[in-house]
Order: sequence, then C-alpha cells, then structure tokens
Amino acid sequence: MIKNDKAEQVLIKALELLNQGKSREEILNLSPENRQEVEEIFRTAELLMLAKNSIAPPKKLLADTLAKLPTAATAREMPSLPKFRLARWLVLVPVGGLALLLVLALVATQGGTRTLQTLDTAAPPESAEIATAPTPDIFNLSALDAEAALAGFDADLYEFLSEESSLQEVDAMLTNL
Amino acid sequence: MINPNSDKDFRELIIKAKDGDPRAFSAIYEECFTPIFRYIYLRVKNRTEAEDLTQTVFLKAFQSLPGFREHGRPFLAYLFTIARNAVIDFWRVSKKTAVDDPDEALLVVADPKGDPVSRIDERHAAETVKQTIKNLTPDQQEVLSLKFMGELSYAEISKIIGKSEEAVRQLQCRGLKALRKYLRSADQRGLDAD
Repeated sequence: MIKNDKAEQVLIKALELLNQGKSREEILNLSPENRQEVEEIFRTAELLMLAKNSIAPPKKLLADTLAKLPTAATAREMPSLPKFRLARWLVLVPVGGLALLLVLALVATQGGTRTLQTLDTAAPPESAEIATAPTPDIFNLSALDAEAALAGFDADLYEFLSEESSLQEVDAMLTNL
Repeated sequence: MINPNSDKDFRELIIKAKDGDPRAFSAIYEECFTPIFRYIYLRVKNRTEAEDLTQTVFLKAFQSLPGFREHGRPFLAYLFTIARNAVIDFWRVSKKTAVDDPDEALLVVADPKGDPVSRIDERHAAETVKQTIKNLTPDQQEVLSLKFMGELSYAEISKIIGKSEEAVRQLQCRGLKALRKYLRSADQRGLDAD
C-alpha cells in the first residue's frame, strides 16, 4: 500500500496534468496553497527535459551498429513473429521421443546380433567371453546352445543303445573289463 | 515515423537504413537510438560505456526479433527493457563505480545550428543533472531516466520496472523533490565558493 501525504498527492496530480499537456499556469491556479512547491517541481522537471535535449549519441555510432547487423538479405529472411513456434515444438516432442526409442531399440538389437556373431566364430569360448561384455542376452543364448548340445548327445546315445549290434559291442567291452 | 508498437517497422527500417535509406536512418536515430542512448547515459554516467551499451542493446534487439512476442507490450518498451537489463548487468558484472567524463560531458548536440545560448544552457543542465541524479535512490534514478530521457508513459515504465503505475508516479515525484533539494545545496555550495 502506497501512502502519500496531501502535499505529495497535489504534486503527483500536478505532474500528471503537466504530462497531459495542461498549461503550467492553469495547474498552479488549481492549488494556490502549494504553488511554490509545485513550481519548484516543475522547474526541476524542466531542467531534466533541457538536459535531455543536449544528450545525443554520435550518428557514426548508429552507422557502426547497423554495419554490425546481418546483411539486408539475411535480415529479410528472418522469420516474422513465430506465433506457432511453441505448438510446433510440442508436436516435435513426442515424435522426437518415439524416434529416440526406435534408435535405442535398434542399437540394442544390433548389440545382441553382434554378440551372437562373436560367439559363433571359431575362437575359443573364453576369448569370446572376454571380448564381449556379458549381457542377459548372452546368458540366454549360451543356455540355449548348451541345452541343444545335451539334447543332441541324448539322441545319439539313445540311437546307439537301441541298435542290436551296439548291444553286442557293449557286451564285448564289458567282458574285456 | 516509426511505430513504437511494431517490431516489423523496426526491422523494415533497419533493413532500409542498412541499404542506405537516409530517412530510415534518421527515423531509427530519432525514435529509438537516441532515447535509448540518453537513458543509458544517465544510468551509467559515462559516454564511452553508454555508446558500447547502446550498440549492444541494438544488436541484441535485432537478434531477438524473431522471438519477440508483443503481449500488448510496445516494441520501444521492449528495447528499454533490454537496455535496462544491460545497465543492470553492467553494474553487476563490472562492479564499477561511476566514472564521469566531464570534459566530454557526453554531449553531442543534436542540432548544431541551434541557438548557442540555449546550447550552453542545455550543456550546463545535462552536466548538473548528471552530477546530482546519482544522489537519488536507484529506483528514483530509474524512473526519472525512463520518464525524461526515454519519454515513456507511466504505464510503460510500470511494465519495464515491474511496479504499479501509482508507485511509478510516487517515485517520480519523490525523485524530483530530492533532485530539487540536491540542486539547491549544490547551488548554495557554488555561491559560497564565489
């Protein structure tokens, strides 16, 4: 809350009227009891206005400033007030997010494929493990490979034992023992 | 005549002035460049610094034109907001104390064909104001500079400094009263010295 005393209110009103273009004499006559104070304030305001008229920048400064601005062609190409700029960005946010997710998914897939290719090479399994960082995918793939190998071994054994000649072979071996 | 409410006018004038149009040059000089310089000069009280800052303000304003959104704010008020921030940064970053340049007196008389007596009065007035205004509070200096150097309305000043119009009127009134007091005492010191 702004508190003004009565004299201050008179001065504020007087300055307001002067600002609106009322004549000094007219304003001074409105409040004869504050005439001297109002006159002094007016003189101070006039001093400021007088000072203003003598303060001016050199025109060369404006010329130098203009020279530093972009060329006219560039300036013409500058877009006008971009009223929908924010809306455009709002549209781009989910699209950008989706694109980022896709890229991440692609990177993850590529990483898994590369690991599988590394494991498939003739290099010893130890070096392959060292060369690639262990990830859950690698463990899953290794487990699947081991399971497949065990299943193959079981099938071979079953086939071997189910043949009659094999049984004779086994008997012979046990006799030798 | 530039429309202070329009950034488009400003941009067009800049383009024309750069292309060598003397009328566009004069319009910018009279309507924007000089008021901004006057305001900055009275705030930093040094001609060289005022010139540098005025140039910075115009470069910044032009660069930020595409992002300028009126929101009911006149473009000239936007320029003054940039100028005000530049002055605040100037004092904050440099932590300088005001270095007056009384020899230059910052004064380049706009109309050299004017009445010599009046010019002397104006020069004296400018120097007196510059010397006494620094005794006022920062808010009072701000309002008087924007009102009398920038020739802005109370509503515009209110938006720039973020105070109510009533507060702006009061700051102006108290600033003028204080200035009057300091002018009187300066005058008295001058008389005593004589």
